[in-house]
Amino acid sequence: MLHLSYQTFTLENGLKVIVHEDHSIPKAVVNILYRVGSKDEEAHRTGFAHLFEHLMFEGSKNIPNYDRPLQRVGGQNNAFTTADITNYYLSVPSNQLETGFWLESDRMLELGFSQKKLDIQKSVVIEEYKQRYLNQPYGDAHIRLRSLAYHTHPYHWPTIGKEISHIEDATLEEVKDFFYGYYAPNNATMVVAGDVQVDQVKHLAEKWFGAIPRRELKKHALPEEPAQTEARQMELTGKVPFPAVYKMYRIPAHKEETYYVMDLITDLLSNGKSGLLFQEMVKKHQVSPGVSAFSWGLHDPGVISVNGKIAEGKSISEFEAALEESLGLLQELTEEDLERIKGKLEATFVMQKTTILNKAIGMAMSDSLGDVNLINRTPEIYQQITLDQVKSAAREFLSPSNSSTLHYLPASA
Amino acid sequence: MPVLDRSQAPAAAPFHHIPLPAYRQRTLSNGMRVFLLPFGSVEVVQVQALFRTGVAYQTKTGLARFTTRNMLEGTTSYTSLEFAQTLDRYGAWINPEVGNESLAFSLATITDNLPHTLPLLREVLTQPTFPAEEYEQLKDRSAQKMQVSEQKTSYQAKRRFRRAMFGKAHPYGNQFGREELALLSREDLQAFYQEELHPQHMLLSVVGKFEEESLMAQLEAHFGDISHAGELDRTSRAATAKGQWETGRIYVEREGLQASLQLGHRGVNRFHPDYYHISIMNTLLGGYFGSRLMKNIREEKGYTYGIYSRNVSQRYEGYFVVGADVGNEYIEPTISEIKKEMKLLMDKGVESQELEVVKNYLLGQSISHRETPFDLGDLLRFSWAMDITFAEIDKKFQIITDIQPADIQEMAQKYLRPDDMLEVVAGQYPAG
Repeated sequence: MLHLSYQTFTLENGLKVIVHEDHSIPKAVVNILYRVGSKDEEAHRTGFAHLFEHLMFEGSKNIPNYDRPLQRVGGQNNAFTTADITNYYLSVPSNQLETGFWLESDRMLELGFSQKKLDIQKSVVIEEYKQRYLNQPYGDAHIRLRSLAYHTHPYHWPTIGKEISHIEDATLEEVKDFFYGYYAPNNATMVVAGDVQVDQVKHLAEKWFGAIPRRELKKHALPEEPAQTEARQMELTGKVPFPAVYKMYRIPAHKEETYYVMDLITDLLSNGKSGLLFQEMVKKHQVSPGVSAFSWGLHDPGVISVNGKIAEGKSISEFEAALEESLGLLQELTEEDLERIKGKLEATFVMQKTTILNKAIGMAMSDSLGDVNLINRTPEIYQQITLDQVKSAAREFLSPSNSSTLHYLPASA
Repeated sequence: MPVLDRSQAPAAAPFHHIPLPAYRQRTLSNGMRVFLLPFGSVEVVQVQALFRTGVAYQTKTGLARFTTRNMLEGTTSYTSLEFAQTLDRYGAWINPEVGNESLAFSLATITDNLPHTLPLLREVLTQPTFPAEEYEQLKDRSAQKMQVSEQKTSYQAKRRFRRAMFGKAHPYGNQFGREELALLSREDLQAFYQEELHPQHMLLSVVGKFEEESLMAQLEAHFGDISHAGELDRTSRAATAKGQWETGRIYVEREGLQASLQLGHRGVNRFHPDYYHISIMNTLLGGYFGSRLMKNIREEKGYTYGIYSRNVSQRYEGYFVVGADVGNEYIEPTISEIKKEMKLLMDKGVESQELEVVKNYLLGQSISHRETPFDLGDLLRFSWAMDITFAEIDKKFQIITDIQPADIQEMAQKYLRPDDMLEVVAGQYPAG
């Protein structure tokens, strides 16, 4: 198995730095993960962490434009926000590494706040909301379903925001508070990977990030989601050609062993043509043109999703009966079935390590889960999973009483 | 420590251009050509079976794509399920890549597993049985998925744009949708396989981490016994097809919150002497995140989440297109801003500072996009399919380095036609 070597150090202000050297091509990646996501938002101001991610590209205290100096040295960048974290990354030709440090340190120091920039990015995010969710067939299914699966925990709302009005109403004052409450060296991990030297990174990190003050974090304890005891159900109508079923099953937090078992189960269920749900529901019972299952990868107690559209001439109840039967078949899995999916997962991990960016993001995500070396341990965790664990986790977590279901129905013409 | 001046960018370093690595060509005992390119430090390889066919060689729309998909649905030794399971066991993927002028079956595998995964590639290529039951089911499923896509304004706009840009008679003018699927039969697929995809005409490309002699021995064992009749050498239908080239506004009415725009006009093919210059001009206008269209329409107006322009230069023919999803209330303002930006570039050109950013961005991309065996394998396929050598591809770096602001303006004046575009709007005009 491919082992990634790395070194870590922490600056006095609390910024943790991880360095991974890979000199195969003259490229370097700087990846900064801030431990703030949509779960840190207030219930009346959802979508804020993601809106803020947009503002991070609108210029900082000493650098009016973020993108242009980066493009000028041949670099590129992007970012993503999840319920748990916000992650920024850039890549540059390795002899331009310092430009990355200059840009990232200035926006960690202080943003160039302005009402005009905020107004424009609100508008961009609202168009993003429409393009990715509201103007897509079934696009709002998961947005609505998670509010059924979570009543108390902030996973209740989606990262894009629960309502467009929450984004419209955000004020500049709130933007500033959010920055000083979460964007701090002591709330971040930086991974520098690629054609770089550890000493060089130490020097640059000290030079550009060393003077950024440690900040008092706004972190607050999140409410725990009470245990679910009975099946939950809702109905939604929209402009769609077929009825569809969306389900969420609650699963343990990412740090628990069972999380990995459930994640592996989603691969057993939905893995192209060899997936159990494809074989049973699509091929044998023909109740759907395609069923998918996936894990949300959430840090706190999370969910896995199972969903599919209803095949022409079949009903929602036929779909659900076939699903129950298929999930029951997990109890008849063989060692051979398990070994096969492990083979696929192992190759997936190897393929993921062919790019510097994937490695850098993987290390940052591992660190945010409490251990940077998780990136090296993960393949082994999956290899150790036993057939008994799979069967018992399936029995415990894939029961109707642990599920939330959304029926998406075509609006009558 | 001296006080840092954070307003000053660190000194820029020069770009070091790294040429594409050379690939070798060898031959199996049956005459089948093999391209070999050792690349990367991770123990993976991409093996491609290459065919000189594709969209421009099919007699019905979707035939190439649907035939290749069905080839993975059963062979003489494996059912569809058994085949997928065997790929899983050895952690490998086989995917068809259907281009206009080339077609490949691409195997991605851990190097050590080649003895188990090469036979699977051979099996798909030599023994597909096109089981009737699998065919019917796949057809039904595909139709239902296409029906969902039809709800999307972006799907509607792109389909309509292609049709109006090239016309029904041109192989590039048709997108594979439900209507086209309905016209296909299992016999069509079998005939396409026999005529276009038979392994007696294929060649191989291998990119990744491997030991050459051991790899050649394995390729010989699995492909050397196929009776090889030479590679196909025919003229693409795209070379002779008559295009239609509509212009003007086409409105596809769809209820919804946003409209998808596709605006554009005819362009140049990949062999046109101005190809690289036009591409650079396009990058500045709408080809990257810092482009003029993004800056104006997203970053200053907030009309859209993203807007792009592309210069699509194919082996034969080419076109220029601007695309965006915008709120219905922004349809007309966006179209007018797009035209304004095109005219501005034509009339006023560009300052060297702005061009410098584009040039450096493009030079940096070149390093970034040559990272994995899969990146290099795709480039190799392109190089073979278009008859453009790696050395020829690398000439673009000199062109990027040399290009001047006056060249950009000249390209804009020569090749942009803001007042003579095809304008497809799929969405809903605001009332009034």
